[in-house]
Amino acid sequence: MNSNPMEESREPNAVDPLSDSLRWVLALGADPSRSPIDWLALELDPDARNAADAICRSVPGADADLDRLELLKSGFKSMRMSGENASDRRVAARYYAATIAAGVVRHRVWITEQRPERVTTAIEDLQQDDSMPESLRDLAKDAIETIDGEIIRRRPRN
Amino acid sequence: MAGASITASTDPRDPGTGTARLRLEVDFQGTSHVFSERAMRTTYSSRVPPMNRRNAQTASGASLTDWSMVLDSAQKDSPTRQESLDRLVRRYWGAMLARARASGLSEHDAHDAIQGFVADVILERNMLAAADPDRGRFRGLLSRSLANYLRDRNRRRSAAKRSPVDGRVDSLLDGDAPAAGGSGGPEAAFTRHWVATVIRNAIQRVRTDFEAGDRSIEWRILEARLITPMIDGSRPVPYAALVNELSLKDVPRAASLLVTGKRALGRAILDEISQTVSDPDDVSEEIKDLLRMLEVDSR
Repeated sequence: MNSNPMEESREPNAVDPLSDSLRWVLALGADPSRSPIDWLALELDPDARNAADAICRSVPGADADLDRLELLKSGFKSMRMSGENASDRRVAARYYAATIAAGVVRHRVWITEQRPERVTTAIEDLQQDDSMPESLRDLAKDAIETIDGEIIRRRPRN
Repeated sequence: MAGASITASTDPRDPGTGTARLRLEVDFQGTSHVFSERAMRTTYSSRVPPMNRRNAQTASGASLTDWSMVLDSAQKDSPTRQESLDRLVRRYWGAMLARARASGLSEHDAHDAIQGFVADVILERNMLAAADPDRGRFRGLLSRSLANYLRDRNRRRSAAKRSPVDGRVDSLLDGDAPAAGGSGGPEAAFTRHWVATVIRNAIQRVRTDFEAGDRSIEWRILEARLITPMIDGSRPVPYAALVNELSLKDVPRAASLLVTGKRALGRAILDEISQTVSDPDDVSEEIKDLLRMLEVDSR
């Protein structure tokens, strides 16, 4: 399966569209605040189970993994700025920080142009937010330890 | 059918949608019931003008649930009875027709059978007066009543039986036309068409809302990435093409807009389904019930 939404060479979905529609409507009803962030992540990383999984899983090759994280980060940034409501924007901000944390933990690079102090604060906020998935809070914890102990460089631009 | 006469007229094909129009007039005990033609055969097309009215609202804009319409329709002295009856029949017309077609009737006979069901069972026997919200969903009651009616009608008619239609009336494109794929009996056909009707109504509502709210970019992305593939099984338009077409910043921006549209559609579907249950807390159970029926059908 191709996981790059820019290429999108997947075959048409074989699932029954009526059943599929009802399933995601059911998910929307069950967890209205989490669904949008998961839907967004799945649009950008169709192989992931949800947004947290998209961030925490890695794909072979550092560049491919970083490209994927940057794509997710841009999506979360977009939702952080223009999400439908305050809840969406708040959750998106946390996931945005989580993608940056993943770049730090797995590749020792910043995938952002923002000042490290500011990003570190956002990652600390993520770690302390008990409404976030445990996997992301653990990732934030690891990132803070990495930032404290190592020099993190900016990802070189092509 | 005693006490009732029906006039069904088919107008020239609608040049906008290619769908034949139908007008159902039932004269019952001195009262003329006219069920308007287009809504019974509602056709969704991404290129047709948006609908101007929400499906489940009265002319005054008040939302009506299925059960409120049923109870109103059952009261012969209600001043809004005709409107409620009209709305109910239009809302379920496609699903009833699907059931009739899947039981082996030709399209013409299926229309005739449904017209007879409306006149004999809904109007003459006042089936709705016996409907009880505490005894299950209106969808189930209607489907069972129609099944009984079709069975009795079939017994009465000794004419040669037609073989079942191969295909289900679940198209999101055309409310009446059989769709390809899958199999299943009349009950499955009714359910599939009913789900398709709910989703089609929701799509039309979202489109109207988006266009009225100057959200044409979101509509275009929703249509290209979700709705058209849902309708015809085609591939979603690639994000890169949409970014270019709509002059968006990047793919994540387009994906974010899709999520907003997808949620709006999801809410509209939830709202459509909530109008069919007597208690809003039953919406999730109704969705699960519909899913179970669709999944049984696909096995």
